[in-house]
Amino acid sequence: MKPGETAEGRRLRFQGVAFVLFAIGIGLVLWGPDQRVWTWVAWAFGSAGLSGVIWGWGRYLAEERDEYVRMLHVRALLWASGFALTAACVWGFAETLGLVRPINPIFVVWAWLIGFWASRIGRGLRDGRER
Amino acid sequence: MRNHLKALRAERGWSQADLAARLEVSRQSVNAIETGRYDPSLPLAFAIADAFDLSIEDVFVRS
Repeated sequence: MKPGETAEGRRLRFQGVAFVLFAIGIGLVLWGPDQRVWTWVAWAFGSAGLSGVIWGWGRYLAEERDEYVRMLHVRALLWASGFALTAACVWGFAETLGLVRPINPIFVVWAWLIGFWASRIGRGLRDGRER
Repeated sequence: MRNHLKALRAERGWSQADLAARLEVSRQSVNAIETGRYDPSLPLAFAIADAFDLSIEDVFVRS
């Protein structure tokens, strides 16, 4: 890390770039030209972006020196992963049984983000009440 | 685990931010420890005791 740079700042910068790659990938999937080569480009951008976001979290947890802040992030990541996994399993079972129509698996990413922010907002509200 | 952080800070005229700077953690962490929402690890508990120049038992109390 550069002097004066925080682990959180580094994470935000790195994940910002990764999110842009991911957004480009999603944009190409939704509105890109209907040609085989663009499908590969969309896959490469989306996959690299998403992998970068997850790697960014791993690196952040290894670099963060403030144990309380690190614990809050670990908790939010567990909530997010649990929520996304549950949503994927519930929908997957229903889909296998023919109860619902198949949907784009990218919904798992949105479920993960909902779980993450629900945990962060819930923590913030609890902290506000206890302060 | 209870602690005397608030009283010890007040004796020395330190704000939560002052203590956080000495411990190299966020003010949010000091607030969480002080209000009992978070029990620090043993290394951080020792660092807190060192910051006040006290033993760990003088800062933290078994609840």
